[in-house]
Amino acid sequence: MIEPDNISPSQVLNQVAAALPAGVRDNLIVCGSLAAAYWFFASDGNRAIRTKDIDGLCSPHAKAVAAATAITDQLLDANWKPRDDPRFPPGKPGDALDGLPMVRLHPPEGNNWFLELMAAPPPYQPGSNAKKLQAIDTAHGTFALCSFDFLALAEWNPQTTKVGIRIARPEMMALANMLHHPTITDTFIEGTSWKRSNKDLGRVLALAHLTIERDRRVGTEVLGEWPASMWAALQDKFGPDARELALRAGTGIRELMRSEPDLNQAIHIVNLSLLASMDLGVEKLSATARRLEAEVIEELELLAGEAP
Amino acid sequence: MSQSYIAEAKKGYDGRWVGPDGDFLIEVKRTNNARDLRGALLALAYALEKELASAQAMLVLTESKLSTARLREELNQFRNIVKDGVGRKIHLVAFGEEVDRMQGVLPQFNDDLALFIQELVLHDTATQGGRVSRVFVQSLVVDRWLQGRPMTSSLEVLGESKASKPTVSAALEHLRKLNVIAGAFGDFAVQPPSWDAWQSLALDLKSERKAVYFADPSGLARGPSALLSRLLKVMDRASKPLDIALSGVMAAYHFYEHLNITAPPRLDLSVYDGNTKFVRKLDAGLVEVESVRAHAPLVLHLGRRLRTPSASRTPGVGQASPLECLADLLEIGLMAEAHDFTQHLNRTTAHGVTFP
Repeated sequence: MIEPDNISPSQVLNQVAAALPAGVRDNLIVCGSLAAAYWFFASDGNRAIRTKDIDGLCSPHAKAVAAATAITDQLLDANWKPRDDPRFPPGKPGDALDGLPMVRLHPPEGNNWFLELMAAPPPYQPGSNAKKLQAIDTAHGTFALCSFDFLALAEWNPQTTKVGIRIARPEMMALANMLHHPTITDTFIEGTSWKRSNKDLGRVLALAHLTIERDRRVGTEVLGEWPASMWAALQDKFGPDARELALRAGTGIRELMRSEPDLNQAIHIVNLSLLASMDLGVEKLSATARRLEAEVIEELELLAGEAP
Repeated sequence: MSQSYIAEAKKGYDGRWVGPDGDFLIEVKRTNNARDLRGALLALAYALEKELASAQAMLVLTESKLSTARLREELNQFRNIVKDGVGRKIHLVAFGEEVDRMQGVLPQFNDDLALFIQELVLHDTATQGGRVSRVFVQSLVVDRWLQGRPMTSSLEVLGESKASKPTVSAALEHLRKLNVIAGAFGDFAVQPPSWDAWQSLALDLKSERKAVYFADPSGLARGPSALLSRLLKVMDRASKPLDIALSGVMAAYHFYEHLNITAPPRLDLSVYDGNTKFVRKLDAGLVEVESVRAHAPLVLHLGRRLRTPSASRTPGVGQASPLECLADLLEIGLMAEAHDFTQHLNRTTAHGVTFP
């Protein structure tokens, strides 16, 4: 039985797929908790997650603006509604980027969740700001499209779902989050006392835990395949910077493992989202963290260390 | 400290920890006896005399029932009767049942020293402090018989086991009482043990080994076969060969393929050098637990190697002795299966089939 605040990954993905313009469906990769939930729970109609935002990555970078514009116009034409945010009124061409609203659209049926569009990042420039904004001018106003450097990993070998939309691979989302948070910082999620890094690194633990859980259930060792995929993706997407990135990928998780309050908060948050209804304690997710470190992070470091 | 090491047997101590402010000579002793304790302190005092002034020494008691107050009293008495320059550099701690609980008089302590002590204690446990025990000798006699190379004289046992004469005599006497050997004094023949004798031999062996249990707090434990597959990879990649052998149900299958156990409940490994660090590579989610009641997917048995590694059908990891497997089956509580296993061992050995 699905509670009111919970959403079914299959249903939502179906709804997004049906609403997208056919010509740009191939340019959208769903990532974040919905992609993870679909990856792990698609065959279980009763499994639900609590999330408000469905992250859609417009890819590749060169087509991101055109795809985002087409998707936004079509959805707004079909009575999807921009998410109300008094701080960001509808924009117009020429407005400052940081004053523009993001593309966050509720489906016509209600406000349970919204689709947020993002852009695949441009080629990686070490030292540049990881978060980048660009404007898209639609028939319904001007919006900002956000991208993060390590979201490029979501573009690596995504899985095409039965409904025709592609979803990011769990290990790529995990790696993107790990690289995005090399340390735990005091940046809080708006309106909460939750650290952004705890939320995102907790997500990494959840993805690893769900992978291990499925490995044990079906007798596979998919977690053990993560390092090779991660290394291949890093080389593919970040070329000469792959080695340095692989060698520092584990620093944030290791810091989280050492900090009891941060680990507790990360586990609390993840139990409210991707692991909703599983209610996993610190002991269980600490075991997952140790496995992640030994079987993924250290192996990735080994691969990078052996690289010429 | 990478320069720290376990000492050769002829040294007056078991290990040397190379610290930033000077070395620590460490002696591990399993005793409840004050006379042994005083002797060990004195031996350390002699050893310290040959060292640089910065060196210190520590006696680590294992499985000791001596209280913290008693240890303090013994150390104070000792310090009162030796030169102050030596006495104050000798320390005494008790290594408790809980691995990292140390009681007694502690010198400046750090994690690295604690880990080194833990390693020394495990090594001491695995090798019984270098002593060859009666149980080891009797087990060796039975294992050689199972391998189709039975020993036939006390002189042969003495030479093979490297045990002292009294230990060999005690072991043979025990085997004679169990009707496992028969014959004139000095020469003997091994005969198939009765079920009672097998149990006695296995329980003796079990009591001499230290079992270390690992549980999975995540509830996502790998099955024994998956753990074994990973172990082979870990062994392939290890910089130093692991001194271990497969034991328990999984090794018993090797000796008796019709053993009536549908699925092994856990992975049992005999560890012969006391080194348990490979467990993290095997499955970092596992944690050592004290309670044997907790479900343990992995159990390590620290003890002395009974048989030299042989070419085995399982690549990478050899089998422990069938006697070690039997001890594990009994510990798991698989009594009927253990009985069936011993019947098979007796039956086939009598027909000239051996268990190399």
